Amino acid sequence: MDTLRIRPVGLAELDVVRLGAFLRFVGTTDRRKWALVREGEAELLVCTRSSRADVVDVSGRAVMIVVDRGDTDPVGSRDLKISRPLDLDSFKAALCSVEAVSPALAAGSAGTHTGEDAALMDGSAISHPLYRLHKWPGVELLRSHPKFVRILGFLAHRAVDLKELQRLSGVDEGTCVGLLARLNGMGLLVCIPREEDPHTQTAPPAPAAQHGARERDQITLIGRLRMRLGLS
Amino acid sequence: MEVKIVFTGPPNAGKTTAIAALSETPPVVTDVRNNDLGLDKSNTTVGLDYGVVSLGGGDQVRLYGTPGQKRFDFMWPILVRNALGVAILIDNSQPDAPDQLEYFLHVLENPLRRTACVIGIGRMDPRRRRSLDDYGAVVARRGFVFPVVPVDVRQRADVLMLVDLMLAQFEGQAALVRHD
Repeated sequence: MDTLRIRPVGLAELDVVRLGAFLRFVGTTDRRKWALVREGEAELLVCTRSSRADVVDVSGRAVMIVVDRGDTDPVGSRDLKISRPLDLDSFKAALCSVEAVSPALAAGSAGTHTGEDAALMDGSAISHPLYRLHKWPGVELLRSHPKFVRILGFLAHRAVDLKELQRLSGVDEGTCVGLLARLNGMGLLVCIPREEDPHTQTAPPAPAAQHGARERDQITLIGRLRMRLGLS
Repeated sequence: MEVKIVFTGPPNAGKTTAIAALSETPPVVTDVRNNDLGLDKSNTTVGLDYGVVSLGGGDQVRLYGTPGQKRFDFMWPILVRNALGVAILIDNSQPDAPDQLEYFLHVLENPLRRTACVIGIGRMDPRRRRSLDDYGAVVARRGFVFPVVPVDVRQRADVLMLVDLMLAQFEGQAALVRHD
Protein backbone atom coordinates (compact mmCIF):
# COMPACT_ATOMS: atom_id res chain seq x y z
CA MET A 1 0.00 0.00 0.00
CA ASP A 2 1.29 3.48 -0.87
CA THR A 3 1.70 5.99 1.90
CA LEU A 4 1.14 9.65 1.13
CA ARG A 5 2.27 12.33 3.54
CA ILE A 6 0.47 15.45 4.61
CA ARG A 7 2.40 18.22 6.34
CA PRO A 8 0.92 21.32 8.00
CA VAL A 9 2.80 24.58 7.47
CA GLY A 10 1.98 27.46 9.77
CA LEU A 11 -1.34 26.00 10.85
CA ALA A 12 -2.75 26.51 14.34
CA GLU A 13 -2.31 23.47 16.56
CA LEU A 14 -6.06 23.05 16.79
CA ASP A 15 -6.28 22.73 13.01
CA VAL A 16 -3.47 20.18 13.00
CA VAL A 17 -5.26 18.12 15.61
CA ARG A 18 -8.44 18.36 13.57
CA LEU A 19 -6.69 17.15 10.41
CA GLY A 20 -5.24 14.26 12.38
CA ALA A 21 -8.72 13.34 13.57
CA PHE A 22 -10.05 13.50 10.00
CA LEU A 23 -7.26 11.23 8.81
CA ARG A 24 -8.31 8.57 11.28
CA PHE A 25 -11.64 8.41 9.46
CA VAL A 26 -10.67 8.88 5.82
CA GLY A 27 -6.89 8.46 5.77
CA THR A 28 -6.77 4.81 4.78
CA THR A 29 -8.28 2.93 1.86
CA ASP A 30 -7.32 -0.28 0.15
CA ARG A 31 -5.10 1.72 -2.25
CA ARG A 32 -3.22 4.08 0.01
CA LYS A 33 -2.68 5.45 3.47
CA TRP A 34 -2.24 9.07 4.47
CA ALA A 35 0.17 9.95 7.28
CA LEU A 36 0.51 13.28 9.07
CA VAL A 37 4.13 14.41 9.26
CA ARG A 38 5.55 17.46 11.02
CA GLU A 39 8.62 17.91 8.84
CA GLY A 40 10.34 16.59 5.74
CA GLU A 41 8.95 15.69 2.35
CA ALA A 42 5.20 15.44 1.82
CA GLU A 43 2.81 14.98 -1.08
CA LEU A 44 0.39 17.52 0.36
CA LEU A 45 1.21 20.69 2.28
CA VAL A 46 -1.58 22.39 4.19
CA CYS A 47 -1.08 26.05 4.98
CA THR A 48 -2.86 29.36 5.45
CA ARG A 49 -2.80 32.34 3.13
CA SER A 50 -0.14 33.96 5.27
CA SER A 51 2.07 30.88 5.45
CA ARG A 52 1.65 30.14 1.71
CA ALA A 53 4.68 32.33 1.00
CA ASP A 54 6.82 29.90 2.99
CA VAL A 55 5.88 27.03 0.69
CA VAL A 56 8.01 26.37 -2.35
CA ASP A 57 6.18 24.96 -5.36
CA VAL A 58 7.55 21.59 -6.34
CA SER A 59 6.31 19.46 -9.22
CA GLY A 60 4.11 16.66 -7.99
CA ARG A 61 3.41 18.27 -4.63
CA ALA A 62 0.01 19.72 -3.86
CA VAL A 63 -0.77 22.69 -1.66
CA MET A 64 -4.01 23.15 0.19
CA ILE A 65 -4.82 26.55 1.66
CA VAL A 66 -7.11 26.82 4.66
CA VAL A 67 -9.18 30.00 4.35
CA ASP A 68 -11.65 31.62 6.68
CA ARG A 69 -15.38 31.27 6.24
CA GLY A 70 -16.64 33.71 3.60
CA ASP A 71 -13.20 34.16 2.04
CA THR A 72 -14.00 34.01 -1.67
CA ASP A 73 -10.71 35.36 -2.94
CA PRO A 74 -9.09 32.99 -5.44
CA VAL A 75 -6.02 30.97 -4.63
CA GLY A 76 -3.20 30.05 -6.97
CA SER A 77 -4.19 28.08 -10.04
CA ARG A 78 -2.54 24.93 -8.72
CA ASP A 79 -3.61 25.33 -5.11
CA LEU A 80 -6.54 23.65 -3.46
CA LYS A 81 -8.74 25.59 -1.10
CA ILE A 82 -10.61 24.42 1.95
CA SER A 83 -12.79 26.68 4.08
CA ARG A 84 -13.33 26.91 7.80
CA PRO A 85 -15.05 25.37 9.57
CA LEU A 86 -13.06 22.41 8.37
CA ASP A 87 -15.35 19.51 7.63
CA LEU A 88 -14.70 15.90 6.88
CA ASP A 89 -16.34 15.78 3.45
CA SER A 90 -14.37 18.72 2.06
CA PHE A 91 -11.17 17.32 3.46
CA LYS A 92 -11.88 13.91 1.97
CA ALA A 93 -12.63 15.50 -1.42
CA ALA A 94 -9.33 17.35 -1.27
CA LEU A 95 -7.43 14.15 -0.49
CA CYS A 96 -9.14 12.44 -3.43
CA SER A 97 -8.03 15.21 -5.75
CA VAL A 98 -4.43 14.91 -4.61
CA GLU A 99 -4.55 11.15 -5.03
CA ALA A 100 -5.85 11.61 -8.56
CA VAL A 101 -2.86 13.68 -9.61
CA SER A 102 -0.19 12.20 -7.38
CA PRO A 103 2.74 10.84 -9.42
CA ALA A 104 3.83 8.86 -6.37
CA LEU A 105 0.55 7.05 -6.19
CA ALA A 106 0.39 6.52 -9.92
CA ALA A 107 3.91 5.09 -9.98
CA GLY A 108 3.23 2.86 -7.02
CA SER A 109 0.20 1.27 -8.59
CA ALA A 110 0.78 1.73 -12.29
CA GLY A 111 0.01 -1.88 -13.04
CA THR A 112 -3.50 -1.61 -11.74
CA HIS A 113 -4.65 1.38 -13.78
CA THR A 114 -6.05 1.80 -17.24
CA GLY A 115 -4.37 4.08 -19.72
CA GLU A 116 -6.93 6.73 -18.95
CA ASP A 117 -6.17 6.49 -15.24
CA ALA A 118 -2.50 6.84 -15.93
CA ALA A 119 -3.15 9.92 -18.05
CA LEU A 120 -5.18 11.46 -15.26
CA MET A 121 -2.61 10.66 -12.66
CA ASP A 122 0.63 11.61 -14.30
CA GLY A 123 2.30 14.85 -13.42
CA SER A 124 0.86 16.71 -16.40
CA ALA A 125 -2.61 16.22 -15.03
CA ILE A 126 -1.96 19.12 -12.74
CA SER A 127 -1.58 21.42 -15.74
CA HIS A 128 -5.19 21.55 -16.93
CA PRO A 129 -6.05 18.29 -18.67
CA LEU A 130 -9.53 17.88 -20.09
CA TYR A 131 -12.12 15.54 -18.66
CA ARG A 132 -15.18 14.04 -20.26
CA LEU A 133 -17.79 11.67 -18.94
CA HIS A 134 -17.59 8.25 -20.56
CA LYS A 135 -20.64 6.85 -18.79
CA TRP A 136 -23.02 8.22 -16.17
CA PRO A 137 -22.47 7.01 -12.62
CA GLY A 138 -25.08 5.19 -10.60
CA VAL A 139 -27.76 6.85 -8.55
CA GLU A 140 -25.82 6.46 -5.29
CA LEU A 141 -23.15 8.85 -6.48
CA LEU A 142 -25.71 11.19 -8.06
CA ARG A 143 -27.49 11.49 -4.72
CA SER A 144 -24.37 11.75 -2.60
CA HIS A 145 -23.99 15.49 -3.18
CA PRO A 146 -26.60 18.04 -4.30
CA LYS A 147 -24.26 19.58 -6.88
CA PHE A 148 -23.00 16.40 -8.54
CA VAL A 149 -25.82 16.19 -11.08
CA ARG A 150 -25.13 19.74 -12.19
CA ILE A 151 -21.40 19.13 -12.58
CA LEU A 152 -22.02 15.92 -14.53
CA GLY A 153 -24.27 17.77 -16.96
CA PHE A 154 -21.27 19.80 -18.09
CA LEU A 155 -18.99 16.78 -18.29
CA ALA A 156 -21.42 14.76 -20.40
CA HIS A 157 -21.24 16.73 -23.63
CA ARG A 158 -17.66 17.78 -24.11
CA ALA A 159 -14.28 17.72 -22.47
CA VAL A 160 -13.61 20.53 -20.04
CA ASP A 161 -10.74 21.37 -17.74
CA LEU A 162 -11.14 21.90 -14.04
CA LYS A 163 -11.25 25.68 -14.15
CA GLU A 164 -13.88 25.72 -16.87
CA LEU A 165 -15.92 23.11 -15.05
CA GLN A 166 -15.88 25.33 -11.97
CA ARG A 167 -16.89 28.37 -14.00
CA LEU A 168 -19.70 26.68 -15.90
CA SER A 169 -21.19 24.86 -12.94
CA GLY A 170 -20.58 27.53 -10.32
CA VAL A 171 -19.44 24.78 -7.96
CA ASP A 172 -16.32 25.13 -5.81
CA GLU A 173 -13.05 23.50 -6.77
CA GLY A 174 -12.96 21.02 -3.90
CA THR A 175 -16.31 19.54 -4.87
CA CYS A 176 -15.38 19.40 -8.57
CA VAL A 177 -12.05 17.67 -8.02
CA GLY A 178 -13.61 15.33 -5.50
CA LEU A 179 -16.17 14.23 -8.08
CA LEU A 180 -13.53 13.92 -10.82
CA ALA A 181 -11.43 11.72 -8.58
CA ARG A 182 -14.39 9.49 -7.75
CA LEU A 183 -15.41 9.21 -11.41
CA ASN A 184 -11.86 8.35 -12.33
CA GLY A 185 -11.73 5.70 -9.65
CA MET A 186 -14.93 4.19 -11.07
CA GLY A 187 -13.54 4.17 -14.61
CA LEU A 188 -16.21 6.59 -15.87
CA LEU A 189 -13.96 9.45 -16.86
CA VAL A 190 -11.94 10.04 -20.00
CA CYS A 191 -8.88 12.23 -19.65
CA ILE A 192 -7.88 13.97 -22.89
CA PRO A 193 -4.65 15.83 -23.55
CA ARG A 194 -5.66 19.39 -24.32
CA GLU A 195 -4.34 19.53 -27.88
CA GLU A 196 -6.37 16.48 -28.93
CA ASP A 197 -9.77 17.87 -28.11
CA PRO A 198 -11.22 19.80 -31.07
CA HIS A 199 -13.43 21.94 -28.86
CA THR A 200 -10.41 23.45 -27.18
CA GLN A 201 -9.21 24.89 -30.46
CA THR A 202 -12.07 27.32 -30.47
CA ALA A 203 -12.10 30.77 -28.98
CA PRO A 204 -13.19 31.34 -25.40
CA PRO A 205 -16.93 31.47 -24.79
CA ALA A 206 -18.59 34.41 -26.47
CA PRO A 207 -19.67 37.33 -24.33
CA ALA A 208 -23.23 37.14 -23.10
CA ALA A 209 -24.32 39.83 -25.53
CA GLN A 210 -23.55 37.51 -28.45
CA HIS A 211 -25.68 34.64 -27.19
CA GLY A 212 -28.94 33.98 -28.95
CA ALA A 213 -31.87 35.65 -27.27
CA ARG A 214 -33.89 32.45 -27.24
CA GLU A 215 -31.04 30.51 -25.71
CA ARG A 216 -30.59 33.12 -22.99
CA ASP A 217 -34.30 33.03 -22.30
CA GLN A 218 -34.24 29.26 -22.04
CA ILE A 219 -31.38 29.30 -19.56
CA THR A 220 -33.23 31.87 -17.49
CA LEU A 221 -36.37 29.81 -17.71
CA ILE A 222 -34.52 26.72 -16.53
CA GLY A 223 -33.41 28.59 -13.45
CA ARG A 224 -37.00 29.55 -12.74
CA LEU A 225 -38.18 25.99 -13.35
CA ARG A 226 -35.59 24.72 -10.88
CA MET A 227 -36.84 27.15 -8.29
CA ARG A 228 -40.47 26.29 -9.03
CA LEU A 229 -39.78 22.58 -8.56
CA GLY A 230 -37.50 23.04 -5.57
CA LEU A 231 -34.39 21.89 -7.43
CA SER A 232 -32.26 24.98 -6.83
CA MET B 1 -42.08 31.69 -23.47
CA GLU B 2 -42.99 28.04 -23.61
CA VAL B 3 -40.79 24.96 -23.58
CA LYS B 4 -41.68 21.30 -23.36
CA ILE B 5 -40.49 18.19 -21.59
CA VAL B 6 -41.49 14.84 -23.05
CA PHE B 7 -42.06 11.57 -21.23
CA THR B 8 -41.96 8.57 -23.48
CA GLY B 9 -41.63 4.81 -23.16
CA PRO B 10 -43.67 1.66 -23.68
CA PRO B 11 -47.17 1.19 -22.26
CA ASN B 12 -47.48 0.84 -18.51
CA ALA B 13 -44.11 2.47 -17.81
CA GLY B 14 -45.61 5.34 -15.81
CA LYS B 15 -45.61 8.29 -18.18
CA THR B 16 -49.04 9.53 -17.11
CA THR B 17 -48.14 9.14 -13.43
CA ALA B 18 -44.87 11.00 -13.89
CA ILE B 19 -46.63 13.93 -15.53
CA ALA B 20 -49.21 13.97 -12.75
CA ALA B 21 -46.37 14.18 -10.22
CA LEU B 22 -45.15 17.43 -11.77
CA SER B 23 -48.17 19.10 -13.32
CA GLU B 24 -49.91 21.79 -11.31
CA THR B 25 -53.20 20.82 -12.87
CA PRO B 26 -54.60 17.33 -13.31
CA PRO B 27 -53.06 16.07 -16.53
CA VAL B 28 -55.16 15.92 -19.65
CA VAL B 29 -55.18 12.29 -20.68
CA THR B 30 -56.41 10.49 -23.76
CA ASP B 31 -56.84 7.07 -22.25
CA VAL B 32 -59.22 4.50 -23.65
CA ARG B 33 -60.17 1.05 -22.48
CA ASN B 34 -57.30 -1.30 -23.13
CA ASN B 35 -58.03 -4.03 -25.65
CA ASP B 36 -54.46 -5.31 -25.77
CA LEU B 37 -54.49 -8.63 -23.94
CA GLY B 38 -50.73 -8.39 -23.53
CA LEU B 39 -51.07 -5.33 -21.32
CA ASP B 40 -52.01 -5.72 -17.68
CA LYS B 41 -53.93 -2.45 -17.32
CA SER B 42 -57.52 -1.34 -17.80
CA ASN B 43 -56.81 1.87 -19.71
CA THR B 44 -53.99 3.01 -21.94
CA THR B 45 -53.00 6.27 -23.63
CA VAL B 46 -53.69 6.48 -27.35
CA GLY B 47 -53.19 10.19 -28.01
CA LEU B 48 -50.96 12.02 -25.62
CA ASP B 49 -50.91 13.14 -22.00
CA TYR B 50 -50.49 16.77 -21.19
CA GLY B 51 -49.61 18.71 -18.07
CA VAL B 52 -48.16 22.12 -17.33
CA VAL B 53 -45.90 23.92 -14.88
CA SER B 54 -46.47 27.69 -14.86
CA LEU B 55 -43.52 29.91 -14.10
CA GLY B 56 -45.28 33.25 -13.96
CA GLY B 57 -45.33 36.04 -16.50
CA GLY B 58 -47.03 33.77 -19.00
CA ASP B 59 -44.04 31.40 -19.18
CA GLN B 60 -44.86 27.72 -19.09
CA VAL B 61 -43.22 24.34 -19.21
CA ARG B 62 -45.47 21.94 -21.04
CA LEU B 63 -45.26 18.26 -20.13
CA TYR B 64 -46.14 15.74 -22.82
CA GLY B 65 -46.54 12.01 -22.55
CA THR B 66 -46.42 10.02 -25.75
CA PRO B 67 -48.55 6.99 -26.47
CA GLY B 68 -46.40 3.93 -25.84
CA GLN B 69 -47.58 1.43 -28.41
CA LYS B 70 -45.30 0.81 -31.36
CA ARG B 71 -48.09 1.59 -33.80
CA PHE B 72 -47.85 5.20 -32.61
CA ASP B 73 -44.08 5.41 -33.02
CA PHE B 74 -44.48 7.94 -35.83
CA MET B 75 -45.64 10.43 -33.17
CA TRP B 76 -42.59 10.10 -30.92
CA PRO B 77 -40.11 12.17 -32.98
CA ILE B 78 -42.81 14.73 -33.67
CA LEU B 79 -43.42 15.26 -29.98
CA VAL B 80 -39.73 15.20 -29.10
CA ARG B 81 -38.83 17.84 -31.67
CA ASN B 82 -37.58 21.04 -29.96
CA ALA B 83 -38.07 19.55 -26.52
CA LEU B 84 -35.99 20.78 -23.61
CA GLY B 85 -35.49 17.18 -22.63
CA VAL B 86 -36.82 13.65 -22.88
CA ALA B 87 -37.36 11.03 -20.21
CA ILE B 88 -37.61 7.47 -21.48
CA LEU B 89 -39.41 5.36 -18.90
CA ILE B 90 -39.01 1.59 -18.99
CA ASP B 91 -40.90 -1.05 -17.01
CA ASN B 92 -38.25 -3.52 -15.83
CA SER B 93 -40.88 -6.16 -15.09
CA GLN B 94 -41.47 -6.63 -18.80
CA PRO B 95 -39.54 -9.58 -20.19
CA ASP B 96 -38.32 -7.62 -23.20
CA ALA B 97 -37.65 -4.36 -21.36
CA PRO B 98 -34.07 -3.84 -22.68
CA ASP B 99 -35.33 -4.44 -26.21
CA GLN B 100 -38.05 -1.87 -25.62
CA LEU B 101 -35.44 0.67 -24.59
CA GLU B 102 -33.40 -0.15 -27.67
CA TYR B 103 -36.43 0.41 -29.87
CA PHE B 104 -37.13 3.84 -28.41
CA LEU B 105 -33.49 4.84 -28.79
CA HIS B 106 -33.63 3.63 -32.38
CA VAL B 107 -36.80 5.51 -33.32
CA LEU B 108 -35.61 8.68 -31.56
CA GLU B 109 -31.99 8.33 -32.66
CA ASN B 110 -31.71 11.62 -34.56
CA PRO B 111 -33.51 13.98 -32.16
CA LEU B 112 -31.75 12.46 -29.17
CA ARG B 113 -28.36 13.41 -30.65
CA ARG B 114 -29.16 17.02 -29.75
CA THR B 115 -31.62 16.65 -26.89
CA ALA B 116 -31.08 16.07 -23.19
CA CYS B 117 -32.31 12.62 -22.22
CA VAL B 118 -32.58 10.50 -19.10
CA ILE B 119 -33.56 6.84 -18.83
CA GLY B 120 -35.78 5.94 -15.86
CA ILE B 121 -36.12 2.25 -15.05
CA GLY B 122 -39.21 1.36 -13.06
CA ARG B 123 -40.06 -1.70 -11.00
CA MET B 124 -36.46 -2.57 -10.28
CA ASP B 125 -36.58 -5.66 -8.14
CA PRO B 126 -33.43 -7.11 -6.59
CA ARG B 127 -34.81 -10.58 -7.16
CA ARG B 128 -34.77 -10.04 -10.90
CA ARG B 129 -31.59 -10.92 -12.69
CA ARG B 130 -31.61 -7.73 -14.72
CA SER B 131 -29.66 -4.73 -13.45
CA LEU B 132 -29.26 -1.09 -14.44
CA ASP B 133 -26.03 -2.08 -16.16
CA ASP B 134 -28.04 -4.10 -18.66
CA TYR B 135 -29.86 -0.93 -19.66
CA GLY B 136 -26.65 1.08 -19.56
CA ALA B 137 -25.19 -1.38 -22.04
CA VAL B 138 -28.10 -0.74 -24.42
CA VAL B 139 -27.55 3.01 -24.17
CA ALA B 140 -23.82 2.64 -24.78
CA ARG B 141 -24.42 0.30 -27.72
CA ARG B 142 -26.48 3.02 -29.40
CA GLY B 143 -23.62 5.46 -28.85
CA PHE B 144 -25.33 7.63 -26.24
CA VAL B 145 -24.11 8.87 -22.86
CA PHE B 146 -27.35 9.21 -20.89
CA PRO B 147 -27.96 8.68 -17.20
CA VAL B 148 -29.82 5.48 -16.34
CA VAL B 149 -31.49 5.61 -12.95
CA PRO B 150 -34.07 3.57 -11.07
CA VAL B 151 -37.34 5.40 -10.68
CA ASP B 152 -40.64 4.98 -8.89
CA VAL B 153 -42.84 7.49 -10.66
CA ARG B 154 -45.27 7.46 -7.75
CA GLN B 155 -42.54 9.22 -5.77
CA ARG B 156 -42.34 12.87 -6.77
CA ALA B 157 -38.72 13.03 -5.63
CA ASP B 158 -37.82 10.35 -8.16
CA VAL B 159 -39.55 12.23 -10.98
CA LEU B 160 -37.82 15.44 -9.90
CA MET B 161 -34.50 13.68 -10.14
CA LEU B 162 -35.28 12.79 -13.76
CA VAL B 163 -36.01 16.44 -14.46
CA ASP B 164 -32.87 17.55 -12.61
CA LEU B 165 -30.72 15.22 -14.71
CA MET B 166 -32.42 16.48 -17.83
CA LEU B 167 -31.91 20.16 -16.99
CA ALA B 168 -28.26 19.62 -16.08
CA GLN B 169 -27.65 18.10 -19.49
CA PHE B 170 -29.51 20.89 -21.24
CA GLU B 171 -27.36 23.45 -19.47
CA GLY B 172 -24.25 21.49 -20.46
CA GLN B 173 -25.36 21.42 -24.08
CA ALA B 174 -26.19 25.12 -24.03
CA ALA B 175 -22.69 25.82 -22.71
CA LEU B 176 -21.30 23.80 -25.61
CA VAL B 177 -23.31 25.82 -28.14
CA ARG B 178 -22.04 29.05 -26.59
CA HIS B 179 -18.51 27.69 -26.60
CA ASP B 180 -18.66 26.85 -30.29
